[in-house]
Amino acid sequence: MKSLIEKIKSISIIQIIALILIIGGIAIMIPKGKGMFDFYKEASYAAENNFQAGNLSPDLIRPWMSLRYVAVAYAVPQKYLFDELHIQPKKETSLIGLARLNLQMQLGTVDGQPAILKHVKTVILAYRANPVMTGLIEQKVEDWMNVAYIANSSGIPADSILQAAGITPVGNAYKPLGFLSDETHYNGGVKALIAAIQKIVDAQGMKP
Amino acid sequence: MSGIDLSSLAISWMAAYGAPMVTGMLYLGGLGVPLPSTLIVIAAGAFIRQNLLDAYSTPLLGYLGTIAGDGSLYAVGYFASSWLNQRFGQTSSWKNAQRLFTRRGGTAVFLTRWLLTALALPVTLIAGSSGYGFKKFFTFAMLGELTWVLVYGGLGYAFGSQWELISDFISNFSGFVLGALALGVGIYLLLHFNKKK
Repeated sequence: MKSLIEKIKSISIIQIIALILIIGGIAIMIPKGKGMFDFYKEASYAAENNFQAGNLSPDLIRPWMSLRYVAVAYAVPQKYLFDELHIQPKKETSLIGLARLNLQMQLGTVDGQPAILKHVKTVILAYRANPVMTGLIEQKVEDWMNVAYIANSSGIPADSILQAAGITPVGNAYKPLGFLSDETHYNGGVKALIAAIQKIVDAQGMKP
Repeated sequence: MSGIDLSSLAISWMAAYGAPMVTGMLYLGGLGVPLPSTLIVIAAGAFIRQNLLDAYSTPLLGYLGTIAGDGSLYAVGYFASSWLNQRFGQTSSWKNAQRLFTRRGGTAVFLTRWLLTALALPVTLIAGSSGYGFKKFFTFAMLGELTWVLVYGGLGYAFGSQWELISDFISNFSGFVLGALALGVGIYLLLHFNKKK
């Protein structure tokens, strides 16, 4: 016991600082390393769950997804989501993650998850039970949209849009336009594809 | 106000006021005001991709804002140097720190602009107050900030609507590197001390 006390007494300030740095460093690295590992799981989430096939389960919604991401993945018009979730349709509210939106709206948590996730699930199920056309509130067709989203917003069937744009309707409705034009080597690229779809929407689509 | 609240507020301001707000916030961040600067850069990249911010003026003005902040903070250190020297100048640790900074200052300035951003404030103040040349400091700061804007803004742009995901990753990555640095310094001190003994 005495020798142990002597040993402790002989520890210098430098050694104490070194030990604090080592313990502190490890204590920081473990959770941060786990967070980095989780990123790889989440980054491949859409591919693993085959989001491009469409008809997704609402249980697949994650806190990092933005309303825009959900709107496209589930082909639910953004206006419908904004209205049903009682969110003011500002530019940034469609671009920030659901977790951040939940915090801003002070909705708290349900089952350890941001409460907004549950609300979004309910809204998606309600939409599927009773689809509502809202018109394309974005006004312009953009490369992040997919044909299913444009179809559900504008009221023009997805097959009609794809056929009019000269693309086979099978398996292409849920691919973002940027990706779709690359994959189909669309003549004139994504700009030409957007222009072709915009023409159809302007001519036949419901106005917001 | 919590950090997350501040992040949300910063994002709202960016969306509402565009590139000049990004510039202002990055200037204040460079000056040492605790704003979520890295998140702002990632979000700016994502918002450019989503056509919410201008693709030319935002990165350019943001970059100018952040290097202006670095320069201003250096000036704070420079003008406070007489007080610091009076207070600590005679101590061996201060002299050692100055010597070390003269030898390795460029690397420290460069790395703390984009990789070890949590240490940017003290490193800039030390640079200003230790007589480290402004030209040298500014060159390394410009290179570091360019890396920061290009890498993090580029990741935000590449991930687009998934930018919150990459923002979490970068936060974890920076923390991991900082933890590894603390571990490395701790091990070095321990081994160095034992050798001396």
